[in-house]
Amino acid sequence: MFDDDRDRDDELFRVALQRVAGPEPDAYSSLEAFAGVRRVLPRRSRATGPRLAVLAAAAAVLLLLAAVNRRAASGIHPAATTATVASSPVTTAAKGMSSIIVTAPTTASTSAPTPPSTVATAAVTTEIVTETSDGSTPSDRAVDAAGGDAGAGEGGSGGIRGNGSGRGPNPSTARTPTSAGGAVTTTPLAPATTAPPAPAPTAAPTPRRFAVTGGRVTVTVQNGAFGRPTVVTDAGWEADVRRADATRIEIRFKNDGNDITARLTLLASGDVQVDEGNGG
Amino acid sequence: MVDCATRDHRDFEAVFVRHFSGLVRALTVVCGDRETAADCVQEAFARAHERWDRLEGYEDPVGWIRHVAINLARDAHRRSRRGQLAHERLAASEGARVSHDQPADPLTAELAHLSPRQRAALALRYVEGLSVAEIANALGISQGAVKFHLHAGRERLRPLVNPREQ
Repeated sequence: MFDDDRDRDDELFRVALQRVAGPEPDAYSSLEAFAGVRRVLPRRSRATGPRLAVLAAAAAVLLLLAAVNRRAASGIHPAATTATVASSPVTTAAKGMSSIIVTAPTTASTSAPTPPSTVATAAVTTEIVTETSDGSTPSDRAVDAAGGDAGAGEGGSGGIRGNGSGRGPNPSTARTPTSAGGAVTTTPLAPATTAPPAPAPTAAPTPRRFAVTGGRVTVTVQNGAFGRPTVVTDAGWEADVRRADATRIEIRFKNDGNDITARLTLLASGDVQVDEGNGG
Repeated sequence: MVDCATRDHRDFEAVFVRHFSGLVRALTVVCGDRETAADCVQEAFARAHERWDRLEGYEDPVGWIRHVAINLARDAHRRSRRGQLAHERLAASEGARVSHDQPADPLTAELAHLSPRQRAALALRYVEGLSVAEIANALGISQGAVKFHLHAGRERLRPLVNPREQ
């Protein structure tokens, strides 16, 4: 009897909610009849065109860089090449670095600084700017052209995704997108006469590890400053971390009878000097 | 010989043809709006299509699609609720008469006052005909919680569904 009541109850609710749910939607006998899902079907193939264009542009850039470096190595002034060459805008030590403007046949443009005496396929930061097919705002991405990951873009946006190395745009050049064709002009900044005393900026944080009395210290260095240090103490030790400034960190290790202070100093050369002493 | 891509496409198509309508009807009860429900189910199938290589290995790929569709419906409900509240604030502040669509059916109106989980549990139970275990899987809650939501939802709707038992 109880089951009958429950079944009848269920049936009432089923009828009522089926009525709220409404009639069956238009029958789709196959996926092709459904425009919404069909929309996603060509997505993978759509990405192929811009990806090939970016790969072609990257290959053209590498060939040009190789040609420039060959000429530089053989004594021909790089200015004689088709690329625009300017002296380095950053330091006097980097004199002779070149800034190259390339307009690819596609909508991609590239600028890359290259050290003249190195092999062309060494790590070269290349900036490739593309414009989406609908003419929207150009997207700036940095890719490592020598890493060969320029084809990692996805989704048909025409963009390029880097390989995660964290390399950013070249800070020594100012780029201004032009209005037509997605071409980009790279304007070298005025050359500096003196080298700045600060350590060379690094885009990716570099972890440094040190073993000192009482434990181990790991600290990252980025853009001439220490990041947050990580301290692992040995058994029985306690650590007290104090950050004096961006380039100096003091870690005080204590146990029952010892009081050791390790001082980490970031030098202008980018090296880290570690001093140990007793007490604070 | 049928190549793998074609076979995968046929598998997906079979799932789509078989379950699309039922999911849209169930989510119509959850959302209270047929178009929103169809959009959510469409988006869920689109996402499933992108991951079909992985999903087809699942024991219940339709469960994954249903789960995504319900989450999308919940997001859509939150958005529409925010819009409704904005309308009400506007009406209160300016003294204007802002009308928003009120469902003519009292059962639909009462469903709108249930919690999203109660609506989803009722819809999956009585429109899609799922078991308690399948509903629990779709909603990501325990079977006991599903029974609780079903009971609470039924008690709330009972006066409209079966007036004699009041």
